[in-house]
Amino acid sequence: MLEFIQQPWPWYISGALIAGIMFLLLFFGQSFGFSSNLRTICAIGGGGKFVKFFDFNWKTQIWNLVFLLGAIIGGFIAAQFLSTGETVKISESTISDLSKLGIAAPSSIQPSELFSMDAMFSVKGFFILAFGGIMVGFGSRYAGGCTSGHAISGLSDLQLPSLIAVMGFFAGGLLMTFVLLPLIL
Amino acid sequence: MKFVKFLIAGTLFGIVMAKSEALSWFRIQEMFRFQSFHMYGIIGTAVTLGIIGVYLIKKFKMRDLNGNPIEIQLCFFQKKKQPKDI
Repeated sequence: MLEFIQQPWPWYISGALIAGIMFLLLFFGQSFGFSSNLRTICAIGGGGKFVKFFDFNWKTQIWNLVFLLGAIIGGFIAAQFLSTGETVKISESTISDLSKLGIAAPSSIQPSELFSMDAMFSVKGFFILAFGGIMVGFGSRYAGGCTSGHAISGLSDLQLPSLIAVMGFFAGGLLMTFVLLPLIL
Repeated sequence: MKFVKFLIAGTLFGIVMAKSEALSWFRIQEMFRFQSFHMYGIIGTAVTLGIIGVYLIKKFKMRDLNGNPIEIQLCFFQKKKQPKDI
């Protein structure tokens, strides 16, 4: 059993579990949406004094921060105890495309060229991470949700705004992959 | 204590994101380059089951642990829905 869990999980098990977590939160009286935490954290930091968007009773959102904390713990558990240390098995064509951009084949779950202490303390690496973070933070709040809120919760509820948001996320990803990334890297 | 269930749900979510490799930049690049079904399979399965489940929740007017009717609340929709719905 443990051996089975330690393998990377197939998409159908992973997808079903994500839907299961969404239903779990609904039965707990809440909705699955991860990036609301960004707004909550800004509100805790006192953003409400300057911007009306952050002026709300963030105590109603503590559950989501606890969920976020759990996600970090879960990631740690998965990496420490539920992994065989295998690299991500992406397709050969992706490996070859990425090598043209100077990204080596996977040796762990993220490329060290972008996500590592070395990268973070280089000027270019720092700006990539900081600018990416600002874009994610602004975009997910401007759209009222991220992949979890719009793609999973919103689409499950057949919400048109969510479909539009997801199409926007995807278009942004394509633009980044095929136009911006070759310029940046 | 009332937050323990959210901690457990979050932990499960973190494990799923890690074990499915959905949090990997490599997997996301592979998706945007249309070179694997993996990420589409994850999102497709989650959304398909989600649509069926939410439909059943509405059809049978299911309630949550506190006895309130279950509804999906996203801050984006709350703003717009309230005046009309009330």
